[in-house]
Amino acid sequence: MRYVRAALAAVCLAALAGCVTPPQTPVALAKDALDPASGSLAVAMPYIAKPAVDFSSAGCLLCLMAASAANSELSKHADKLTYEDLSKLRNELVAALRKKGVNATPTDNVVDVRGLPAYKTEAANVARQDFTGFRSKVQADKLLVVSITSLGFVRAYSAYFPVGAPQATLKGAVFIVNLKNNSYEYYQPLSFLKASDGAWDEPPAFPGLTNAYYQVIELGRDAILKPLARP
Amino acid sequence: MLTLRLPAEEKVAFRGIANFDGAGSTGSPMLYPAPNLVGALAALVTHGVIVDATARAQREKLQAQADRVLEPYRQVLDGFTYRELMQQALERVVAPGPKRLAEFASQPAQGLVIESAPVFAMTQDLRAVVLDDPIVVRRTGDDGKGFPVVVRIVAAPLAASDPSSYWFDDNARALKRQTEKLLADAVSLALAAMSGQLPARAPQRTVRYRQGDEERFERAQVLSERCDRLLLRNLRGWLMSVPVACESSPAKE
Repeated sequence: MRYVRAALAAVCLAALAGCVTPPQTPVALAKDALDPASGSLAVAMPYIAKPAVDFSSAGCLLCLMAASAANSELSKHADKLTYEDLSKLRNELVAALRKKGVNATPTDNVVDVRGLPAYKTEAANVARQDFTGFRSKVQADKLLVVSITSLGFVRAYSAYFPVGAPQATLKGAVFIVNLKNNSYEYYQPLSFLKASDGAWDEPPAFPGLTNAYYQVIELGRDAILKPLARP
Repeated sequence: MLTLRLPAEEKVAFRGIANFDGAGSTGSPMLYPAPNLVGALAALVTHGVIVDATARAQREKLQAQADRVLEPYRQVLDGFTYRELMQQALERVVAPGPKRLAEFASQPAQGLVIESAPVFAMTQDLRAVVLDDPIVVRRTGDDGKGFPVVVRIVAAPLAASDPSSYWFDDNARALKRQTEKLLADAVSLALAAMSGQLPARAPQRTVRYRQGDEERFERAQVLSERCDRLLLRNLRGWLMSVPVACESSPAKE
């Protein structure tokens, strides 16, 4: 019986390990990625996360409830924050790319890419989600996507206890996918953390943390715009 | 009569600018034996104490590492007193009438009294000095809280090829001149704010400026603009004077 249990556990572990998809590594901007001769480019910004406080590292359910209560003032403040500088980014990208001669158009025909069907492949730098279905919807050969999956503040927890002060955070990715063969011609993950300059615990407006929030937005904008707008 | 009161401390405060981004950003699971409720509570308390102490120690370590940029010059800096700094700065302050320096415990008989506790910070690349100065301006006989304002001034980035020699040669002459100018500017700004010379409100936007070789951002109201410098009111209500790139002016002040 003991050996049966051990074998069963080993099989489960192997199955779960097989389910883990390694994260996409950065892909440098391909030489012809923005070449007008290589095709037209649709630019989409389908998802910007709503500003919130992330304390998911608290782990256990009771720990999460305690963290939620302890950070309720900051959560209320995060709910009021806006991200107008990010919303304008798609049109700024289109303008910068057109200035370089790229045939770029903005598109609203791309829904949240996280819900796309899987694309079966073992090849490197090929998207694991199937973008090829967008080719007719966006009327372009390539798709540039900016996705902001996490925005606001993060506070690390060890069980019930905060490990440090909350920090402003922005996470996501910017990538160009070829809609003919689903390959990445550019992939840049985005991950920024900024601490409050000075004290952080200043309710209700949290000016230090709010300033850090606008800083990560600017850092994110630079990381998205500058490599693509470079002459 | 304008009186600048000396702070209680004698030596001018200098520190290195630390970067706390990412500090305390990783947690660890709580793994303690907890055979019963009492054991579980004891484990919880122990874990809390350890986590708190670790977080504080990490911040202190980061600040201590940042302060090391000034270690080679500590002897020169320890000889720089607030008396010397404020006497020189007072002569540069833009204000009508006579000006004098007062001892910390003295009670000036007339005019405006300025209480200032300036702290200077040096960037890690030694290319800029930053002044943080909590100031209170009072009229003699005024027992209230006076006019409090925090002023931050970021000096223009230094263009010199050897910033260490530039600042600290000749008994830190250049650094002392810089700090006197920054303090004088801070006091002048506080007086301008108190007398209503600055706009009450302005639209908020995210501003970029240089702090040494680093580009920084600040969400603030822009109160006035010059080719090479912006005056801001930040989200805390502090007045900030920051350098910006200007094609027609030299970077160095």
